Amino acid sequence: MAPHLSHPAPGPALCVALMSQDFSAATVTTLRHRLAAAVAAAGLTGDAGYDFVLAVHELVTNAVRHGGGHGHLDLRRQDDVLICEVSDRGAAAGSLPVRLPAVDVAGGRGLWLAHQLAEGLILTRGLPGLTATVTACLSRAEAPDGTPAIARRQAEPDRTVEEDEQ
Amino acid sequence: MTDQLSWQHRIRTEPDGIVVVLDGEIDVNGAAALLSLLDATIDSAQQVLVDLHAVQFIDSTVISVLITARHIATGAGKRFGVVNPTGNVARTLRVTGVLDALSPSRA
Repeated sequence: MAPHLSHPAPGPALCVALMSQDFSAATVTTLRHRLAAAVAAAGLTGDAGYDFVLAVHELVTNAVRHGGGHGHLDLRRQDDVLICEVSDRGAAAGSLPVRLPAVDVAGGRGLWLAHQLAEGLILTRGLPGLTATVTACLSRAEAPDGTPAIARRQAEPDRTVEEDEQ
Repeated sequence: MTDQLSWQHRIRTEPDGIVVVLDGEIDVNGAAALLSLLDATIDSAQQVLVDLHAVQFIDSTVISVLITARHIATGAGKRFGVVNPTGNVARTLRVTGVLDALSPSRA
């Protein structure tokens, strides 16, 4: 008897740790390459895979530049969702700009880009620092049309940043 | 420390000015060096174009550098622009809305 084969029991979701790694400024590039390999191995490929990796890279860059210079990355798969958590120890107070600046303003696009590229972005500020979490749905990435996240967002006019508190 | 080897550049002199041909993956670890390179190049020419055809990765810090370089050029009465972005690099420039602003026709 294997009743769970056709009807999976409701219960704890299947959660698999794929990567857990400290990083610093010097290892940002290496970390991105390892992440890209892990994300591809999990089944998120093509533009969707690239978008997810760039989103995480922006969070890692943010941690290195504003979050105390180093941090920790956790990548896990929960059912068909890829979840990547980037935490730092930055004591930076003040706002987290997720808004897209004007085209002639040099900086401030990192968090906006991460939000735009990932399917979800959650920013949590705790005692140790900032934890930023991005998600990507594997089953959607495997959809027949293979539309990448950027294209999906662009197809939805005025889908701007909800976190913007203005 | 291998991060510094993730990209390289080549300088090509043309009648109109200088073309900086970049190659590889450029991220936060290359941003400062890229800005120094572009700043020095703008200093020595009336027009500077950055050829991105062989670049596979840029992030928001590189976009900041390109926009800063454009400001430097404009402030000095010179022309600066980005040409031949392909694939994901072109997509990244487009989604952040800076592709047109960095095109040579706007420089």
